[in-house]
Amino acid sequence: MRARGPPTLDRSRRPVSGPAPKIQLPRFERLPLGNELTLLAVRHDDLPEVSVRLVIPSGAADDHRDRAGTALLTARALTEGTEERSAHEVAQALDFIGARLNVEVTHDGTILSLAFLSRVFDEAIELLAEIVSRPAFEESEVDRLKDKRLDEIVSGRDEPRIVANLNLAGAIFGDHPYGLSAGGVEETVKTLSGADLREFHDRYYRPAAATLVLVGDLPGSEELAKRLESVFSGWNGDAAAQTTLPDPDPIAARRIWAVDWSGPQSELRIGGVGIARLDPVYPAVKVMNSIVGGLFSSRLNMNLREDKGWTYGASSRFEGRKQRGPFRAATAVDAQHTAAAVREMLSEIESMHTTPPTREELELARNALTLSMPRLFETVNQVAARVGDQVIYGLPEDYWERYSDLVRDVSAAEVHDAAVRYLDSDRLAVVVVGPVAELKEELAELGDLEFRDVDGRPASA
Amino acid sequence: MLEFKLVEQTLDNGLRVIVQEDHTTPVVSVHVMYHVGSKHERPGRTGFAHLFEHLMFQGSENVVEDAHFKYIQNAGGSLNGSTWFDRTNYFETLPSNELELGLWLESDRMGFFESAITQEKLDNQRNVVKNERLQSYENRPYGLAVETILSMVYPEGHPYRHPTIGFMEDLDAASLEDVKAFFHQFYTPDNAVLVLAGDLEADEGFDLAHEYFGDIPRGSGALQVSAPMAPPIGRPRDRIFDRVQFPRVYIFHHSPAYGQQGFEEADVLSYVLGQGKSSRLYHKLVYEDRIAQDVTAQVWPTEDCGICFIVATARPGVDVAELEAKILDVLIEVQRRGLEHREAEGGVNRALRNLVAELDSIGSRSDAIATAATFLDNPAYVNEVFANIAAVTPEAVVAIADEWLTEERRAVLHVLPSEDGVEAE
Repeated sequence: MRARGPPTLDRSRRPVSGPAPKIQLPRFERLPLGNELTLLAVRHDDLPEVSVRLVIPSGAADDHRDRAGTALLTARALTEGTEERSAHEVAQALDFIGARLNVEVTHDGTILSLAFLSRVFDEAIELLAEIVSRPAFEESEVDRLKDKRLDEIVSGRDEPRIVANLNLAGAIFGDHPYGLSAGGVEETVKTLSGADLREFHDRYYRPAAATLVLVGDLPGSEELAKRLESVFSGWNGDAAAQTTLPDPDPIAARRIWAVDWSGPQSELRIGGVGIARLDPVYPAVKVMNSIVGGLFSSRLNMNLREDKGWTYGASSRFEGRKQRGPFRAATAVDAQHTAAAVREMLSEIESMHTTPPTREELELARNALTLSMPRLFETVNQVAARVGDQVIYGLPEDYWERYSDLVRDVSAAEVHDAAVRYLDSDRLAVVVVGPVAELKEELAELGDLEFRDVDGRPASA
Repeated sequence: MLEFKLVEQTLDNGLRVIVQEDHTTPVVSVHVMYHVGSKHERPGRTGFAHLFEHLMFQGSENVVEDAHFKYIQNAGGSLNGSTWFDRTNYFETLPSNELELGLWLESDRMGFFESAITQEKLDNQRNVVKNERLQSYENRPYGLAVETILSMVYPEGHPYRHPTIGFMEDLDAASLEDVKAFFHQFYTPDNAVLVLAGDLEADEGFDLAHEYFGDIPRGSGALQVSAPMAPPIGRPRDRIFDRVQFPRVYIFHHSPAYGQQGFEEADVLSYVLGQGKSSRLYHKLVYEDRIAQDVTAQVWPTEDCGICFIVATARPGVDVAELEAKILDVLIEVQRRGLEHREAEGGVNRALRNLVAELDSIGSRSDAIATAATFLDNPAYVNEVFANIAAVTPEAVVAIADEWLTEERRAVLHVLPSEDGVEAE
């Protein structure tokens, strides 16, 4: 113990860091099941809880274009009645044991998350197996889900940030499946029937293609395998052939999509075709993005928020998907600064070509990405989500252990190369949701200006 | 079932230090909670506590402008702050070898903030906060509903009458003198709790707390405000117009405050009514009658008077009055006929699962410990909640519904669609 005399602290400098802790990232155990369902278990048992992810590597990008929304409604319909139980009975069973089920459908996959206290392990897993392997897809429930999805789509038109995101996807990806919202749009959702959902389920919900990730306070391995074997034994089917999505084309020339919105703020987006999750350039792109908009201290946020005071925040990210996913920079600014803010955003993005990262910026980006690892694997939910991602994208088992070294190795030159390739400001799309009619001339100077409506359809000025 | 070992010491200057060791992951949480929030603001200065929170990230005597975020991110940490009616908190989660960095930053702004504040920083963050109000409230559908309700249910001069984000004209009025006076009055060690959780030894935590915070002088006694339960004020009812397509109803009830008699029962009641697809309101309105897109019930963790909200959004073509009537029918049914045993048990189980998930991360666990210490003077409350919730009976839940979900304690707000956010002529 230190002596407790009068404090003689030198406050003028940052305290010296202690020796870096040894990071023990969770290793998962792979257990075989008879029906070829892959089982990954991570023991993390400080609290009496379990977080589960059932990962189906098929999602919205597998929808027929004219029936977009099928993947989402299929996943949502799982809880709305099974061969044994009505929708209400499934809800009662889940609610009674206190389990929380969440359904997430992206373009790349479907993830059912289930969180529960470990004392109800058996009941929770049995319910999961029941909904995933024996859903009823009853027409009246499907109709209700369609109505719900249509209500969401219509309500989304009230939210400028949703309008901006939807328009940006369209402006970047056009007719590519990534250009469409992962839950489908009004015209496509209206056409869906129980038969579409059943077909999607038959084709893609197959144990040989799926992975069950369990994290938390789990039974011993042998016991775990035995229980899951019996619970999931009725779920059969070989892996379906995976469809390969075409790579999206980069944007040919800078385009500006302007959506008229009379609010006190404007929602601004700038985006382009980024990278695939498995692209080896991923670590370099992450470092580059941290500098331009991925961190609080990034160029975009320091300029628009801390210097100008025009916004509550500005940020950017690259979303690596199975194919090249989006780059997105986003902010919401006081409407009077709309055009000026777009110019500032473009100039910060261009600065990644003209002003090489300083040593300080580079070090900050690398540190933030690598030293944060322990805190990103703290809770059962975080661990399950990370492992779920590894499954969808087929990242190697030791990926997160090697990740720090990959990021540490990124050089200033690689950051510059990444900026040249992925932040080419002539190949970016700009979306402005704000008072665009009065800014017509200013916006037209920045690129090919098109007026769009809240759904991303061509509109008149 | 859930027991966190808490050890605490109070420094000579009144700073209460609580350590919770957890060596599962090599991370530590540094959490400072000041007993000051929007309820302490003086008239004409709404939003000031939150604006002040922003200024606390703008540097202090030994931490230059913009450096605070960089230090933490360079260390691989995360950070934030938040302002509530009753308290303001600042927190970092760091790799365990950077515990001192968190303590250095937090102690520097607790003890040596004043010399670093400038008019320029104030003006910049005022603009940022005004944009926060635009983004999170004014330019968001239904974004002004809650502040409208607060002004309906709390009388003029009541500390909970205004929202933490504040009003534009008051943000404009905030001066550098206000900043300094507020700092002197409220940002003192004897008005704060420091919680350290995670991969550290308790002795090490206390020694370091003493080293970094020990020389900060005690304050002259922060003005404490207690918000009295508002008297019934004529069953207020109002409507506002917003640029939305679907009407929404907000039903407010006064309810037990955080940690007070009946709080856990009210929490379980909110699950039974409106959290989960089998919950009474969700099942009735969304599944059976198909008149609502969604409905939720929740209680807010406030220190003085409790707040319970039931919120439902209409499906296309549904009249908001019908929605309101159906919700009230459900409340009356629970009051008259009670709950099934299984139904209440499910509410208990959902509340417990949620509690465990919340306490899983050291960041939100520190928040829970600091809140219990600040509001109840009883950090061990975090260890009592699990057993308290587990012991809640169906009869006790119904008793809470009987006592609190009454007309005298209710206010109703309808948010109605209009093209431009104002009532049509």
